[in-house]
Amino acid sequence: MKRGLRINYLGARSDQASKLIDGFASLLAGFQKKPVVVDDIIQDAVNYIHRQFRLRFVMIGLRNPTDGVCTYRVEAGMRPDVWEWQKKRTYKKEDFALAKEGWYTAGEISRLTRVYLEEDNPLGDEDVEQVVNRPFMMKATRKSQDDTLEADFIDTLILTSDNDLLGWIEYSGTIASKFPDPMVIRWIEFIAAILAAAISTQDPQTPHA
Amino acid sequence: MRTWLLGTTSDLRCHAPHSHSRPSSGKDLCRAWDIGIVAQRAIMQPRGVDKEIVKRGLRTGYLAARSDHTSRLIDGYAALLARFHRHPMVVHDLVQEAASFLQRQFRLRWVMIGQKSPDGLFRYEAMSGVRPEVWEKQSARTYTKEEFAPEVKGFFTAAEISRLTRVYLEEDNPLGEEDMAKINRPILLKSRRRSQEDALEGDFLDTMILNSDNDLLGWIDYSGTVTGKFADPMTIRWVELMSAVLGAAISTQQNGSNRAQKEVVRTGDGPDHSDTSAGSPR
Repeated sequence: MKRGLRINYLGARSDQASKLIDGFASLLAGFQKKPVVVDDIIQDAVNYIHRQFRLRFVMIGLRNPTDGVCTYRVEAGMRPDVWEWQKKRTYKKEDFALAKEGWYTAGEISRLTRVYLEEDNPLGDEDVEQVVNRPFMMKATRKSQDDTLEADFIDTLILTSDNDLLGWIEYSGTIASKFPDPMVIRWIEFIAAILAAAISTQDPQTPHA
Repeated sequence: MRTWLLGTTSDLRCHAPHSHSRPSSGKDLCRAWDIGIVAQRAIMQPRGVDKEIVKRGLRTGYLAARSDHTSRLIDGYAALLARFHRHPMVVHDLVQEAASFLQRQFRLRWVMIGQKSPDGLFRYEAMSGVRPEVWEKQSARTYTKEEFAPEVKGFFTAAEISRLTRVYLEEDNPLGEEDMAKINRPILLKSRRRSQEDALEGDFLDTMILNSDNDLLGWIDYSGTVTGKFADPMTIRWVELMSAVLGAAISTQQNGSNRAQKEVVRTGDGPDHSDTSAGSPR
């Protein structure tokens, strides 16, 4: 009987959700460091999301609590020269609104997640060179509803319980050029909840890096 | 799901000469125009998918995934993590919410969660599904760290399920008369186990709450399900994730490295800590 319980448990460990649980537990273990270093946790998170969900790229940005400026902090899967450009960019909290005049146009997937399509957000030549990972893939045709184009991306916001912006997770489609399936988006939203907890527990005196 | 964008016939006519569909001779083409075959071929030709369809598809897929059991669990765990945003964070409240969530979500008969007290002894902090008179006795008990080892002479005998979880079977751990008051439904004790999945009244599982140095911070104690079965392996995995969440909360509280350190030590609604007679069986 005891052996049966153990064998069943070992069987469940190979389940996809079970493997994800290990990853989340590992991120939560980052809270036990003294002091908690948020940049370490978000670096682990970005690597984990990139690897686990087989996405082309993932970036995580944070909002500076002092001046309110939002910048990308960590990445996985970006070309180094593109990342150099991306991390110089700054955003304001208002830039994350769903529809802002003269700004990106997004489609709402959930309270936390929105999709930015290439068709909605045509890029200038300069942008294509600087911030697109594979510029030669631009302007391809979307052949099916689940296909992603090179300039498509998804943002999952990292919010406090008062819906205040702490940061965001930005990611592409999968390496097979498909949108991540809905459960992947749900898991990434859960990671956003873990990161929100990590950012909230950090001492404001502790440096980010 | 694959979608083809269907244009109007006039639209298709404009594009037909440039289409990549099978080439036709000029004569055939004229005839085809007359009977609309080219238009039909063009309809079969894949073109860019409408962006609104893409956005709607993503939203609809997401909404469908939200009703999934796993998705509901994600919401529950995210709600618990939101407690980290409160300053100060009240760990006792989080522990209580975790106990209620686990009992409700996985349909367990009861759940109790204990943690290490400042005096180094371990006490139950919160429960869900335990009779009040049983809880009064359980919450007064104390344990030492050593008593959580799988085998302690004169104490409980456990079998390891995983690094964090062990099972305590009624057969391995016969209870004395005085322990009956600590059992939720003593009338059901000594019933027969008919199948491997059946849980008896005196069976329970413990999932440890450890820090990154494998030091014991607390534990989650839980029964079988309301249908008298052992928690299934995925339930145990989710309880182990809860132990990671609680481990993070307790460490955050202990760290002194964050704002949550100004912890409100709630007095009055925690368990009665008067009984320090460690060593009595759980």
